[in-house]
Amino acid sequence: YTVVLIGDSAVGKSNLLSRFTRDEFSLESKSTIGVEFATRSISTDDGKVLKAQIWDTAGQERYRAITSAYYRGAVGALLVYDISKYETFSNVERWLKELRDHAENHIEVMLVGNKSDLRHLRVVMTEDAEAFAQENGISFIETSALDASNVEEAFSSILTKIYEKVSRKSMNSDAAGSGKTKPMANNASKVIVVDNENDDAAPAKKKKCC
Amino acid sequence: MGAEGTHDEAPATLTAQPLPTTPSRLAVGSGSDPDPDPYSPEVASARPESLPPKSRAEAARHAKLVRKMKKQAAAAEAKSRKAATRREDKLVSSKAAWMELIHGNGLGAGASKKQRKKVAELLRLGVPSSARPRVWAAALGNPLSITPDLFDILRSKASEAHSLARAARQSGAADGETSLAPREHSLLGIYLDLPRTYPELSIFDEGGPMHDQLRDVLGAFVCYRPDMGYVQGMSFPAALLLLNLPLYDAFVAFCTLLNMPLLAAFFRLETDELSRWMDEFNALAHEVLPDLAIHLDAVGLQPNLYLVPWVMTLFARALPLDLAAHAWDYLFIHGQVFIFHMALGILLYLRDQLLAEDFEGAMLLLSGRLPHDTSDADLFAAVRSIKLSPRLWLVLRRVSTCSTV
Repeated sequence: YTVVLIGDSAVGKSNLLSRFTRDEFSLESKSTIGVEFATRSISTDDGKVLKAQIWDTAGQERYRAITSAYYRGAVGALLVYDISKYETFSNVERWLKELRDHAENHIEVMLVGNKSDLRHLRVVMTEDAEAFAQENGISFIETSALDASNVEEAFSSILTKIYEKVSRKSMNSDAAGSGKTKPMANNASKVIVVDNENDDAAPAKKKKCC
Repeated sequence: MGAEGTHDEAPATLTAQPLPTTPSRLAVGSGSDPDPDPYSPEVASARPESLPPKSRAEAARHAKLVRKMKKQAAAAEAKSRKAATRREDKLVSSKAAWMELIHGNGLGAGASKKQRKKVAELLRLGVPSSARPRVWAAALGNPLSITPDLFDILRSKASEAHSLARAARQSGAADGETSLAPREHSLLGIYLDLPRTYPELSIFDEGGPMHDQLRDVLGAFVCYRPDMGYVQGMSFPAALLLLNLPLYDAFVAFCTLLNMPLLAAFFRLETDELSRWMDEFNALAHEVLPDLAIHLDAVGLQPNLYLVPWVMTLFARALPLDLAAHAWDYLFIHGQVFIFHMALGILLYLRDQLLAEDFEGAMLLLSGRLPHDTSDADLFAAVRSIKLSPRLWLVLRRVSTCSTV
């Protein structure tokens, strides 16, 4: 599975990745140029081993032309913002649009509020982010790459969802006509699954990627 | 590299002490040691409780091995230290020769055959750091005729523009569209990247000794070339220049470098143009390093994955500091054609390792920094051994004349 990490510069994407893949965090992190990459395997509840290939992308706007190439093969995206910097949250909408334009329709997206250890500097309220995620039919979590809280959860939750989605898809790939299969509307919630109940309520995407 | 599972009683306790000192346990296990570990120099005292003790004979043999290995290691270290000292001496004493070349205009296009030969010979060791400020400045020149006054004007413009951009972002919150040129907003990005440039040196951190200088070079550049703006990656070459040149000279050098057509093309980050260069590079790689190029194609590792960061930082991230500076000695004297040449050299240097790796392993090798103890001599021997075939020259010529802004 290929998962991409996207979001503004300096929100902590690279540290989330190094925390998850190597259990490392660096206060002296380097800015990412282009894309970087790491892998890790996790096991699911039913004993399957999922191997994740995670692409970490440069946050700067100008890089989008090249980083967006990596969205294409991705089945999941962690869209990261910094809870202590409001504009990184306001830009989340733009990032979603990026995904809509370049990624597969059925990509699994998770909104990640990073740096949750910076409690005293928080400017993005958890409820606001939650509401935004709900509206857009994506899941949401707050993490801290520094103290490691929820990092494991974020990655394993998105990987598990992808896994479920993929196995479901292969199971009833032919039974596609049912339920909420309406074609992606051309508006805001297009990226993601039309499934506003999101979360564990089976992201039953029978979306066809056209 | 799995982060799973913590190995507590890891075999990592390789504290090599000279002799086993637990006779009671030795007695118990003497004679039959069912599972000796022939590779470990570790001694009985450092042995995990769960393992049976070594026999006396085995312990003695191991101790002997340990002593032998230590002796060999010490000898090897002494040898390499001696070689390094010799190299250092030679390097320092080459300063005069470099100065002579500068005075005789021996670094530019008008150099005589003899001077060129001398330059090539001196480049093997690189420019001594005491001579770098002069050599780099002389080799690059100031083709854009940037004056100290211009630099001062641009600097103060940058600081005004920065306040404007910041105010705009704070008030306009969501999308900071203002009267500033769109790419002048990229000034804000500079501040995010200052402390993330050579973070291990801590000198570009807020309050660090070179923070303001790096900010000024990058900020002034954005105002000088608002059509390019600040692009992530730029901070690394700017920093490496500042580590070797005084502030104004570093700015001149930075602008001169980014005016190189190839570099400018990369920093524009336009996909079509980039992919054209990737194709050119890949064709070159196939010509010069066919087995490796075929292997990398087969595992699906496209050149853009490593070449983009290499070029956009001019190898300042991919190589340890001293090797990067050495690469720049070549680059400034030979010009931008050396960029692809250097990239091919690194591939050649890593060839054997890369051939043994799949996509992941190769990607890790190529996206990281070469280890600190990478041998300068070996790396640049690889670079020099890249044969410049007619086709290579053709492509490199195209590099040097590629479309400008």
